[in-house]
Formats: sequence, structure tokens, C-alpha cells
Amino acid sequence: MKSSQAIKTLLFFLFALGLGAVLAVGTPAGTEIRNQASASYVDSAGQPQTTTSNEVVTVVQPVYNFEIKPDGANEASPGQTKSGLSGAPVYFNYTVTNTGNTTDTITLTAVDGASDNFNFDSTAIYLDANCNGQVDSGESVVSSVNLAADASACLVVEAVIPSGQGDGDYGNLNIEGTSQGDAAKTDTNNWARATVTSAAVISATKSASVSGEVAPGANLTYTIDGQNTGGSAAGAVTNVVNVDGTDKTGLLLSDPIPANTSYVLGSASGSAGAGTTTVIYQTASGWTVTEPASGSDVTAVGLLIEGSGAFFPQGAQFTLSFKVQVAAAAPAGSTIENVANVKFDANGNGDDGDPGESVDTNTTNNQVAPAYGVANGPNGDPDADGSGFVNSYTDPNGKTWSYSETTSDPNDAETITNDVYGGDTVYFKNTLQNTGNSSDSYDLSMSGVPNGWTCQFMAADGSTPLANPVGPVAAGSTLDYVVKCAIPADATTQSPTEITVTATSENDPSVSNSVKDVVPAVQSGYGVDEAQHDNAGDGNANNDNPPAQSVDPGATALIPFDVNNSGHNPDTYDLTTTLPSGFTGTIYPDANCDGVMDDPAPAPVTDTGLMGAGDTKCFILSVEVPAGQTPVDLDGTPGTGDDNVTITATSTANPSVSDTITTDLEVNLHADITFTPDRNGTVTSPGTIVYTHTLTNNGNADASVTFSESGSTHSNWTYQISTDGGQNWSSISSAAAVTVTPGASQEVQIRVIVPDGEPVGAIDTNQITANASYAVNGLGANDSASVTDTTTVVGGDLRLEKSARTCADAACATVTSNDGSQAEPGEYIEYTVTATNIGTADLKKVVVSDPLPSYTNFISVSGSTSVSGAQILYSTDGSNWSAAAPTNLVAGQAVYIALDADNNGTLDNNDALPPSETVTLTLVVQVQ
Amino acid sequence: MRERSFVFRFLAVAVLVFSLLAVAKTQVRLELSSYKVTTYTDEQGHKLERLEPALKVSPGDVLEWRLRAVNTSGQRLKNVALVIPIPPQTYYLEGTAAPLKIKQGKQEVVVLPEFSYDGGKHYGRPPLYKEVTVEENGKKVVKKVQVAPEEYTHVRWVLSEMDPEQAVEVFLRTKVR
Repeated sequence: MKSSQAIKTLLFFLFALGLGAVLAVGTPAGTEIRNQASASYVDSAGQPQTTTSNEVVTVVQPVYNFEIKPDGANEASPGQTKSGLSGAPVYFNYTVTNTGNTTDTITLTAVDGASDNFNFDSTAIYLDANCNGQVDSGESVVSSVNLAADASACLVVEAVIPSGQGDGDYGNLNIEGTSQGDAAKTDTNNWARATVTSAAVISATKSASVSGEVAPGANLTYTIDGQNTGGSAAGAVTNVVNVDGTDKTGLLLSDPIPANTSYVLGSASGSAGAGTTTVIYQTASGWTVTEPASGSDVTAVGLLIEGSGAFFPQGAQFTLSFKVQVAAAAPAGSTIENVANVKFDANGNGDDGDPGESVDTNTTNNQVAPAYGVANGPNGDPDADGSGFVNSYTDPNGKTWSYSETTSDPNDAETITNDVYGGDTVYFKNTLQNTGNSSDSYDLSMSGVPNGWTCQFMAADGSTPLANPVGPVAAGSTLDYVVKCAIPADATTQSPTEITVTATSENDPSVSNSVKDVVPAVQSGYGVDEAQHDNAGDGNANNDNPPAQSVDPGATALIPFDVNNSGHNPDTYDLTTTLPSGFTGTIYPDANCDGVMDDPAPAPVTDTGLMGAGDTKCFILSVEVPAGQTPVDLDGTPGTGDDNVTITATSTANPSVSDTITTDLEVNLHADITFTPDRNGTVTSPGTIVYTHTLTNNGNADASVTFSESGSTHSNWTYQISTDGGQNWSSISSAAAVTVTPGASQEVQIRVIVPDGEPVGAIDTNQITANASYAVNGLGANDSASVTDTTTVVGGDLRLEKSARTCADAACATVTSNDGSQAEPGEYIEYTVTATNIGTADLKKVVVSDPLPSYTNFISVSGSTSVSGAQILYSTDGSNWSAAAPTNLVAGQAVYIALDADNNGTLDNNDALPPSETVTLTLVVQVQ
Repeated sequence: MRERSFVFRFLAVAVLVFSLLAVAKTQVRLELSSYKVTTYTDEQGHKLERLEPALKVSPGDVLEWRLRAVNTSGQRLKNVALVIPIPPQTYYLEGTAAPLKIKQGKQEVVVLPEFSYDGGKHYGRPPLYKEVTVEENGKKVVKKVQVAPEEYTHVRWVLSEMDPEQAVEVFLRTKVR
């Protein structure tokens, strides 16, 4: 009785304006049986999950069946017997009901019996459209009836008794039916009998004002019409009824009030063609002529036709009419059956105990029409009156949802009182109740679901999907169901979301009722709190930024920080940084969360990995500061405000969610200069000597360098300085500051001017100090370095100058230090001693020597001279000379060279070094 | 945490939701099928049953529902509850939901079916009882009455563990009303 209800109702009225009596056995043809299995389980991560199967659909096929009532098994035991005059018709009443699950046509035939006294002259089957038990004008002869499932039709079978039959003769008749849908389905046990009599025969028929279905609360008017159709006058029955304590004699027509109805006060009236008529009422205390105060006290209505003897002549008629009201709570499909009875005396013996003297009318049948209603409301309170409301429900995942109720249909609502976050799946449990009088199913629908949300109906267990329609739900029963909504992970709402859930009756789509399921404002399901170590997840934004750090150029700064998943969903966060140009940042996990870099260093990461809600993970950002990096302190106040390093954690699930911390990474100002080498020189008096030094800035900013001197004991000696290669000279203290960029070197020349008259052997030692001043970005620092120049006055005119350079190889192809101030073990130092005749006359027997320095090994020695045609002689003791250079020299020994100007292999007075000519000794040693 | 503005990103959400759904759906694969059961007698007089796909049925027909479940998660799952609802147009035939014998580790265990008459809210092993309120002598009395198998709404089998790739099949029969 679902979707085809309307069609069936139509068929019912078209073909079978009759009695709806029996419910069909079986699910209506065409019904789809839908089924979907489900499973719940706990996955490997310990999370409860559910899943569903495919849906299986099976269609119910037609089944044909019907029945014809009343039954009469065979000719010997007819289901009904009527009396009639010879040559006159008798009428039999039948009901045909389709008890299959689909519409069917039943073919009907009337068959004469064989075990009787006569065959009928004629038989005819009439469709009794108004079911009043009589053949009315316009009601036609039929050979079949078409009935929808459950529907019934009334039949009147007219059978004409042949004339010439004697009293007591009888004829039998069977009504046989065959289903056209399924010819195997027949009903052939409906025998009836007509008995010939010449005595009085009272024929009475009953009709109801409404045929077929009657709505609860409606009125039904019953009318009983009777007539003496026999061959004699009907007689009175002595003491046929006791009314108000007095026995009455006459005919009695009585009609009990059927179940599920009550008598309507003032509605009864009756009359008869003979005798005195009185309408009487039966109550719990017997029959009375006074209508009781309440119609429900009336159990039967009667018509007493008083008279005596054979007072009711042939052809005389009587009628009784009254109303009953169908109870509002009458169950749908229940049948209101009613049959009236007439008592009379046919043979003059004064009683009604002889055959044919107590006659029942046909039976009227009215089926109570279904009335549909539904209340759809909050959990346990479908009518939303506040009674029965259950304010919580535990979903299949074990989470308990709490609800508040808004009462008063149709504004009833169920509101979740839990906090709701994006990514949550929320559950509402609702209850609907069938407030009608018949079983019904309901289509559940919802509206107001925001885009992106996935909502569905589930059974009360929350995990079995519900397919429409839900039910059937018996009249008065309730059905719990669950509305399950998955909210998108990144959804938020500012105000509550109302989802209107409507239950609509399958049988009467105009009947529906709604409840609002309200989701409170959805909060963000994702969140992240990033902070310095030990401060993530505390909800305090003021302690997030790591403290400033100051590092030297070339050093590595470690910045520990933590990431906390402050949202409600698992998430992975990308970790990104911004750093000053040239800095290199690498993020390492800090597995033990102690804020200290693990040893060995773990593999670097670029994201946090998956983090559960509330989890905190620790990391360390390692920042390598380039060597030579200029100082960084942008605001000039160490430890504040530069914010030059940021670390951002960004949700991968919802990239709009991120957190950034900033910190200051300051690079120290590094002041560092070198000033080398110390120099020794000889000078004549008067004379001048120039020493060359190298000033190098090893700091990380420009150095502004000025010079000072100290230690000179010869105030008449003049020291001058040049920083431009000897073009301009100034006194040391007044020399202009020279700026040396980081990593650069500056040549500095010191000139010593010795006046005339200084004694031979006078020595002056002067310390020249380079004072470097660094100032950048508000930072300042100083460094200084000194060289000592020692000058000796010599008598002759031979000046010695010695220099050194450090080389990576013995041939000095690769120079690692131009002044030989630094050398690593294994490197080579090349010493050059140059002797120059600075006088005006020849110098004879010039010998130059140089000792092998400590911690060095001798590699080679060579000599050269500017004197043309001369050769160099070598010696290791200063007395034995050879033109060949020595190949070995032990620690503490010195090497000697001499100028052999005349090239004769000996050192003699002929060997002269002319003015301005030089002899040069080159000694190569290797550092041990 | 510093305050962050929130931007609705529909596409990102859609991708995420679908991927989550996909993950959730592939863990246990369920296949439900229904068969119409007819009995016949062979030439030797043996009474036999024939099962054919139940595309069309009539009132009174017996249907066998088979639910095959495969653990496709690659992981061991716990507390796997396999649920077959009884369609309301049919009723459960007592005794047709068979115990499930499965291997768990090296031992064979038997999983007994459990039944619900309240839409899957509560499950138990037969006999099940429900409480009804009746009026006796003008007083409302709560009586405990046994639930008929015809009133069952759901049947389930709860497997305490299910190994990766393990497949099980449960079945029961119902009769079309």
C-alpha cells in the first residue's frame, strides 16, 4: 500500500464500490525490497570506522488470490438459505474480496445444483454497487469484477424459483469464481439454497449511507428496509421484547451498534405499513423507549411493530434508520460490520422459533479509512512538548553528543551543545511518531545543508544507512533515526546552521512534519601554535618568539622551537624560514625535545610529519652565518627588534592556517687587523732606509686605521710613513687615516732618516702601531697591531736588507705569505738577503752570510750579483770557498757567499763591489 | 597562537574530503547479494534447494542474503562488526543466521550471530526480551515478553580481529511478507 495507493483507490471506486473487508496478505506487487549491509571496525590506528556495502534491490512480483463469502462447502450444507414463493425470485448476497497483492479480475458464474428438487428458471449476478443488499435501478448484471488489491465488491444473485413447486422444495446454487491473473486460483464452495414456502416471508435489507471506506469521526446512516414478500400475512410474536419492564407483542427489528461506533442521539426514526411502531433503544439495563443521555450507552436500536395475530399483511413494508459515528481512534483497515434481525411469526403459533421466522439482513461492511499523521521531533520527543526528550546520544565512534531542545511544534529544534569544529562528523538523533491510525512509512528529507557538507540518514545505531522510505511504523509507534553530517575540514561558520529534517507520509504526501537539527557555529578544525622551545601550545602569544642570539661571522646559531597542533584534526605542517641573504638555514628534529642538537645530527626535515590533535614536536633551526659576514644589528640595539629570522609552520590540510615566529640573529662586529713584519736594517750616517710592512684587515667591517709610534730613543732620527707606495710621506702620528676593507691588505712604508754624525753601532728601535677603528650600524670596536723596526748605524757603505716569503713549493711558484710572517709545517720559506754598496767607492772581499733558522731544514742556497763577469763563491765555514753551492747544512750552521769579481776562484783584494752594485743570497728552507 | 584569518577554500576541502572518504572506504570491502531459495525434489526423491539471484520475488518467497567482507586495509583490524539489516518487507527465518567459523592466528574461532529488534540499537543472542506496558485492572503494568524472530531488524557478527586480506562470508534468510 505504498506508491500505488492512489491508483488502487481509483480502481476501488471504479470497479468495486463495495466492502473493503480483508487486508491483502503480502507485500504489494512492484514493491522494491532494498537492503544495504554495513560494517564497523577499529582500524590499525585505533580509530573507529564504518563502511557500507552495495545496495541490493529486489522487486516483489504479483500474487493473485481472492475469496467469495459466505462459504457453503457443498449442496448439503449451503452457506445461506432464503425462502421464496414458487415462481418468484430469491436474492442471495455475496462479497468478493481480492486478497492478492495486485489488481485482478475475477470471473463469476452461477451453477445450479444437482442434489435438489429443481433448477432455477434463471440466475443473474448483479454488482451491488452501493452494497445495500438489493438490486437497485442502474445496477447491472456482471460476469466478472475487477478489484484492486484488498478491495471488495458486493454481489446480489437473483435466482427465480420455477412455478409449480411445493412448500419445502428447494434448489441449490453455487457461485464460482476464477482469477484471470492466475487461473489456478478459484473459489467454488459458495453454495446457497432457496426453499419454497407459501407462508409469510419477511425480506429485510440493510444499507449504509457510506459504502466502502469511512473516515474516523464520520457518521454512517444505517437504513433497514423490510417487506412481507411471502404468501401469507406475518404474525405477531408473543412477548417479542420487554420494553421498560413491560412485555410487548408484535414484530421486532433490532440492529446492534457495531464496534468502533457509537449511536448518534436523535437520529433514529422508523415506520411500518401495519401495526404500531415504536423506536426502542437497548442499554445495559435492557430495552427502553427513552433515548439515553449518551449515545455510547446505546448497544442496539430497534423498531417494535406492535400488533396481534397475523396483523402484518402481504406486501406491507417497514423501515428503520439511524446514525452512528465512527470512533476517531478506530484502527485503519478495521471493518465496521453490521447486520440487523427481524423476528416474526410465520405459522400462527405465536413464537419466532420456527425456520424462517428470525431473518438476518445482509451485512454491511465499512472499512475504516486510514488517517495519516506524523510527529517528527527531537530525540525521544516527537511531538516536541518537552516530555520524553533525551538530551544526549553516543555515536558509533563513542563520542557523546549533547542536545538542547526547543519545544513547540512546528518550531521544534534540537541543538548540539558540544563545541563543533571543521572536520567533525556530527550526529543528531531524532524521533518520529506515527500519529495516524494506520501503519505508515515515511520519506525523510533534509534541507539547509551547507555546500560541501555531507549529510545522511542512519538507523538509530548511527552506522546503518537508512533508505527511504523508513518504516513501516505501526500506528502510535515511534522510530528513532540519526542524522549524520560530515563537516568539511576547513569549514567554519559564524552562526548556527539549521538543517530542517522533514518526515513525509508515504500514504498521504500532504502529511509531513519537520524538526530542525541545529549545528552551533563551526569553529576552525585546524590550528597551530609555534613557539620557542617549551612554549608551544600554551595559548600565550607573548612568549612565542625565541630570544635574540649574537654570533660571530662563520659561526652557526641554533634556534630551538616547538610546533603544537592546536586544532582538532590531525595535520602536517610545512616548515619554512626567511633568513638574511647568504645565511643558510636547516631544520632538524629534536627527538628528545631537550632543545639541544642531537649527536649525531638527525636528518634535516622540511615539515613536521603527521601530528595528532594536541601533539607537540620539537625542532632546531640551525643557521650558518657566512664567514666575513658584515655585522648585523639593524636597529643598533643588540638583542632587540630586528626580526630578521622567521620560522613559519603552515597547515598542509588547510594552508590558510599557519603560525610564524620571529627572532633576531645578530652578527657580532669582529675587529681584527695584522701588521707585519718586524724589520731590521742598517744605515750609514747620514743615511736613509725604508721598511715595507703589510697591514691586513681580518675583521668583518671596514677598518679606519691610524698610526702611532713609540720606543724610539733617537729624537733626532726622523720616522715617516707612506701608504701610497712612497709617493707621499708624513710623520707617523699625523698620517691620514687609511680605510682597509674586510679581507684587504694595505702596504705601509716606514722611512727612517738618520742624520749625520751618528756613531757606528748606534741602534734605534721604534714600534709602529696601527690603530684600527670599526664603526658600522651603530656598532663600534677597535683593534691594534704593531711592528718593530730596528735600525743599526754602520760605518761602511754596505747595506743589508733581508726579506722572506712563504711558499707552498720549493721553487716558490705558489706564494702563501708575502712577508713570510706565517708558515705551516711542510711549507717553504725563501729568505733573500741583499747587500748593496751604498757608498761612493769600491768595497772589497764582500761576504754575506745567513744562518739556517731553528725548526727548519736546509733545501737550497744560491747567490747572485749585479757585477758583470763576476761569480759567487760558497762556503759553510767562511774560510773554505767553492764555486759550487753546498747541498747540505745542519742546524746551527750558516751559509756564506762571496763575490769573486775577477772570477779566479779565490777571495782576494781584486774582488771589488762597485758603488750601487749588489750581491744577493737566497736561502730556501722547509719548516719542520 | 597568533590569530590567523581564515579563508574558505572549497577546492582544497573537496580534495581533502574525497581523499579521506577514499581512505575510509577501502579498508573493508563489503559485497551484499541476495538469492531466492526454491526447493524441489530430484528423481531419486531427494529434497534439494536451488538458489538463484533474487531479482524478482513474490510474497512467501525465501531470500538468502550473503555478505562477503574483505579486509583490504593491509592492516589487522579489530572489532569488525558485519551488519545485515532485515528489510522491513521481509522477516527473519529463525536459525538461518549461521555461526561464522574463522581462523584467527592459528586457532579457529566461532563467531555467533547477534540480533537486534530495535533498529540496530541493541544486539543480543536469542532469546531476546522486550518490555511492553499493558493495562491490567486499570493499572499500567510493565511486562517482559520474548521477541519473536519475525521482529528482528538487524543481525550482526562481531569479529574480534580480521587479518589483512582475510575474507569472510556471513548469511541469513528472510521470507517476503
